[in-house]
Amino acid sequence: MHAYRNLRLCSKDCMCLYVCPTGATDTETGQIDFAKCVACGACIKACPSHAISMIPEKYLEPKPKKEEVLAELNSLEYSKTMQENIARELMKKADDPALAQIMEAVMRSNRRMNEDMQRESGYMVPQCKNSKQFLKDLMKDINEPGFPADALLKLLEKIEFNQ
Amino acid sequence: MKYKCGVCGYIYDEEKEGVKFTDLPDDWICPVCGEGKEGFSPVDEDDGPEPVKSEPVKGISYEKEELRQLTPGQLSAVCSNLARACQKQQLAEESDLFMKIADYYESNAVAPDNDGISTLLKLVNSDIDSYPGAKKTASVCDRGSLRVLTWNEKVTMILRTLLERYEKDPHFLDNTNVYVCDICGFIYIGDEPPEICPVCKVPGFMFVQIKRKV
Repeated sequence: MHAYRNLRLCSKDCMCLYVCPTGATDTETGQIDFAKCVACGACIKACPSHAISMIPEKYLEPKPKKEEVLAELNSLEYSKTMQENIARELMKKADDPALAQIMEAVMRSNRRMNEDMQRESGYMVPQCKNSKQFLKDLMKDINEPGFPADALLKLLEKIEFNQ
Repeated sequence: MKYKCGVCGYIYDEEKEGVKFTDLPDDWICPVCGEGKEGFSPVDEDDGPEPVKSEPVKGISYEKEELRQLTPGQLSAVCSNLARACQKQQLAEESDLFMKIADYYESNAVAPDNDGISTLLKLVNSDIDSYPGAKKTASVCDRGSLRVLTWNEKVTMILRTLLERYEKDPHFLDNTNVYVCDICGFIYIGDEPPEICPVCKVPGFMFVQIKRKV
């Protein structure tokens, strides 16, 4: 676990500097030095702007989902994907810049909705079992032309999956 | 009579406005979120029937062991979602790696045969029809899914309004800007992004402007 500063909220009240026992908040980047942080939480309590929070080391497994809810989400995800693909195609071949603009918005909107549903379909946390299984299943495509095999292997190695 | 916007909850009060809702022009839109008249429904003044409370049903807990059969577009969305999850955890490198895989699947995604905007509208309308049932299924035991379906339904209603407006008048975006909420996908038309998202309530800085390319 270590503290993390939201730079958008930090108004340089610098109370964290005053209370940090290890000097982890004193950096040139404005971010906390994660290696020095001992996760005591003193900076979080002292910060008047509420700009610091704690990043946990372990993430809980998401609650198991009911099959019928997953089926509802899956069919909507499928529909949003089709709409995103159609919008992308229309954007690419549009002669009218206004059509390209609205199709880009439609494409992006559908992607955000789709991602949000995927999050509720069991892929909330990269460390969870579902995500691990998902990445392992992608190994079937590893020899496809253009597949970023390095990225997949690196992810399987780097992420600290739940046991 | 009062009418409530199904996207942002804005109330149109006929008494205050002095104009009957039904007398408003067909192209009238919600002053807060831009939803059209069809997204409004009358507000029942005398409280109306209590919302039906469903009995809590013990869910068969269900561990997903097999990957659902996902299309390339869905695989891409799972990956870009996990990339965003990594960003939240300040895992920048992992986030980039997930995006590489997301981009690969996106480049493999193919649009079905379609008639352009009319196909999009058909899909949008079919989604709008399926939300009430989906929300009912989720409301039994799954707050998270109910939440995403509620946001999605509102965003899809706005998509319908925008596509219909574009079909009627392809110039309606000419002198204004287009913004997409980076959290729920809500599309806002206006000179500046709204202070907070009418659907998911994040601050305006979470909106991304979609610029017109010349």
